[in-house]
Amino acid sequence: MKKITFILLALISGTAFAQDASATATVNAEIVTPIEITEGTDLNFGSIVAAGGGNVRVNTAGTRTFSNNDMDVATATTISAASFNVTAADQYSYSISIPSIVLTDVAGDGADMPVSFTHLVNGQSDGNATGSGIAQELLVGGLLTVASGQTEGVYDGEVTVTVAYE
Amino acid sequence: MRNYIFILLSLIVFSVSAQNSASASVNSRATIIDPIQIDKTVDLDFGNVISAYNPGQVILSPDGSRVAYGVQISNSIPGTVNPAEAIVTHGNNNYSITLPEQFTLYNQENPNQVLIIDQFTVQPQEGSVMDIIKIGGTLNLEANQTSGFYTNSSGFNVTVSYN
Repeated sequence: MKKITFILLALISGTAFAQDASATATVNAEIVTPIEITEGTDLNFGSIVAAGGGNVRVNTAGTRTFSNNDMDVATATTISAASFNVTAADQYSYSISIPSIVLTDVAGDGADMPVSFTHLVNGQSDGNATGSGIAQELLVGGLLTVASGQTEGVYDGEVTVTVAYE
Repeated sequence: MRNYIFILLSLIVFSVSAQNSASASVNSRATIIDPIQIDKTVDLDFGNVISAYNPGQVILSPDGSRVAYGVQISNSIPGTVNPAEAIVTHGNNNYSITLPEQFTLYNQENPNQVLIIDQFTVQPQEGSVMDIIKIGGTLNLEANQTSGFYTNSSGFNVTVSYN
């Protein structure tokens, strides 16, 4: 007389491997061309008589005016506003910055003369403009301050015009 | 942390005797869970990027912010900027997310021009049975990258699987 008791205890613990799931996402990016500026004509104040001193303005249209009419004289060279071509992407606004500079006497004798600038592009003169995807003319005029009895000579200077997307 | 354990407990008792009597009892228990599921809700948009004369990168974070290195992004016209978004239905179980190493976008006008996206990043917003996962990445521009709209309609795969 035999009695056998057989006990099976099975404990299985594991991780369920359900099927993976996937989704796809589209990716988009819009690349815009860098802003570009190229130089056209230079700004020329022409010939000036120092006299008692004063201001000489060449506006963005290239027209010259004096605060002191004694300074006015027929000019030997052509008076002109500076011009540049700015190409910015369509509808992108950009800023224009032109720091004031001084003109120095090429011969090194006369004192420096300060110049500040005004500009006009696409009807805007407030330092901002909006690109069109094609070249836009940027006109730059200046206001030159001449001291009383300023030493005669040829004065020049260089200004860097910076345009940048806003 | 949720952690799913699949348990099968079998308790089998046999009694065998020389007599003709025998008995067996079995207790078993199992929990079945739904398969994991992922549904994309938003595509990945890097927005407008201004190319430069040097190579550069734009990093789009899962929170939707952009940082540019070597190139410029326009604040006035950012374009459409979105991290990708998908909903993962996980029933409070642990899972892993698999993203591609890189993905290529093609210029719509000129398919020879490409952009490479890599370094995908993920940020989940955790819920009890489903998470919203947001995915960002890094857009790599070459010097003087040709302007235009770049896309790849085949999309990149986001795969989720239970741990």
